[in-house]
Amino acid sequence: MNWELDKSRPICPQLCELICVAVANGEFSAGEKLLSVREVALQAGVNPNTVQKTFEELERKGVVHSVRCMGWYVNDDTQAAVNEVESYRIKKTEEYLYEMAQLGCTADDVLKYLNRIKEGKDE
Amino acid sequence: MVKKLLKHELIYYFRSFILFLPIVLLVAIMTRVFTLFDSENVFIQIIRGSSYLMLFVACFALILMSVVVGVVRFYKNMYSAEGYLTFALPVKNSEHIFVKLAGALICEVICWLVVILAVIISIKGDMMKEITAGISMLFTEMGIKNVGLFIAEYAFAIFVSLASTMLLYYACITIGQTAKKNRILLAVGAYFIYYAATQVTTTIVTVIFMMISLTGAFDGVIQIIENNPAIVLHVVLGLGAIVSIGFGALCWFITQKIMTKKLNLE
Amino acid sequence: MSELIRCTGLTKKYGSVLALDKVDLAIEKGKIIGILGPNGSGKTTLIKLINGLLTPSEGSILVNGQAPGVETKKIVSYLPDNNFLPAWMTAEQIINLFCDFYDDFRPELAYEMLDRLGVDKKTRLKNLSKGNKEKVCLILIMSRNAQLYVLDEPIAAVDPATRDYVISTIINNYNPEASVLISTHLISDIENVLDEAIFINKGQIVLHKSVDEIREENAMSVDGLFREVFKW
Repeated sequence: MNWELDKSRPICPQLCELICVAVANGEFSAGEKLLSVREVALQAGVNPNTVQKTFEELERKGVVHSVRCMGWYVNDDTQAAVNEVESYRIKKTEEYLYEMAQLGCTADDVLKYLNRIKEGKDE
Repeated sequence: MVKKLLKHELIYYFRSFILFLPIVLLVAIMTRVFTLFDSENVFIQIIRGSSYLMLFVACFALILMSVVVGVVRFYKNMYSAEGYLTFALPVKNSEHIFVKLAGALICEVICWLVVILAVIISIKGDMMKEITAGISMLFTEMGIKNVGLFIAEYAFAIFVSLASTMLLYYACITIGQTAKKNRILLAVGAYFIYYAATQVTTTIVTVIFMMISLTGAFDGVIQIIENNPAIVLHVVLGLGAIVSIGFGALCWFITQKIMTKKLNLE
Repeated sequence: MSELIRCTGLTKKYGSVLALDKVDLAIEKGKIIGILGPNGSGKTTLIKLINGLLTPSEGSILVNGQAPGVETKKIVSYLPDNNFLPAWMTAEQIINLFCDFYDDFRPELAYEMLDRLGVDKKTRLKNLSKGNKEKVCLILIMSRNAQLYVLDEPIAAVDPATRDYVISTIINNYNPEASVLISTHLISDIENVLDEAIFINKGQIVLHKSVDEIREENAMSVDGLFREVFKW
């Protein structure tokens, strides 16, 4: 699990993202026990308080749940995680389009570039 | 806490003196061995003389070292980088001062005892008898009846004086810490001021006493002294001890006050 | 009480120099907090005041509700920014010293950490490399089960790998009843681990916010904001 973080953004949302992506793509299976707060903190090099907040936020979103004295577990229904990843994709795409707009591209221009690269990959 | 603190002090002194003490005793034994060769041979006499000289130097160095190590220990452990460790310990400042003083005094007393032992070892049997006889005569002439008491008083007076001198050094070092730069210089300066002040005061007081005695006001006292010289000794030792204790207490107070209010480690 | 440190109008003057100017500050339990500021900003003065190495000129400072003294030293574990351990001692001797004076010291933990770092407990400190000396200092301070850890520049003098080790030790040692106060220049290395950041300049607190708030409000790292705020 790669815990690379961007220092210019708050940590908590970034950790949420990373975990949701891992759940959505199956790296963490449904019902699986997550690493403890301390282990995540150590691996990511972040404050355990932040990890705790992250897990609580993910619980709120329906991605994970806590079992008393046992730890945190991925929910059996991973749809919430999938939905979260979907919203990240949309946000990332919007950010990308905004950046390309700074370079003078319209959405159609961007599509053209994307197709070009896609064809290049198919060849 | 005080016991633990003292334990660590003594460990430090032990480390510093563990080699030196046996060396002094060995030199004493060696000197004594040389006295066995009673000979007119100039060569042997030179060796004997050198041995005595070496013993003298060794004893002097030991005593000097005991004072210097005591002072340096205080400075290093309280006011150098080690001070950050010392002052982080959950110990009162008064306890720190007490333990530093106790450790230094124990070291000094042991060194003095070793020196006395070394001197006794190095002196030939019959010479020793002569010396003891001479001292007994001196005591009798001075009217000292209870030799044991006199020695005890004398030792006490010396002990108290060692303590108050060490406290003086502590106070000077601590005064030095109030400066931002050149702290050791200020400490030495404080000592010089003390020294100058005592010299001046002693001179003035002596002159005043002499002038008063010329008027004959002390004639009665002088009579008593001539009849009973031992009293002078008791009075002098007693007064000396009291003054030392008072002065030592003053130095302790100054040290503790500055340590508590004006401490600023670099 | 959840406040570990409370400064009220805390002022410190050295003669005519004002090192701390009526500082009001509260630090809560269970936080890892960075005190960040340029040289001469008053960081060191504040740290010395917390540890009872200085007395306030005005105002007050309370550690766990008490003025700094014998009782607070029992619960505060302080790592100064210099070689404060006697060079002639071995790691073992220093661990024994800490055991003697600090009830909350955990020697097993210290020995375990020394082992993992491959530092021989019987070597005198003066014969250790600089990096190892720093590690021994850190190990001793962190092996105490204190309520407040005060670390003054814990990562400045060590290589990047050791910095990671220091940060891991801080995370590993985390306990919601205790707080860690870190004073440093190397903000970038440490900001991910901080709950809150305090910017201090010319004896005054310029900012005291959570790291996430800073990043959210400014769209930059704490390091970035620091450079902005303390631009020449």
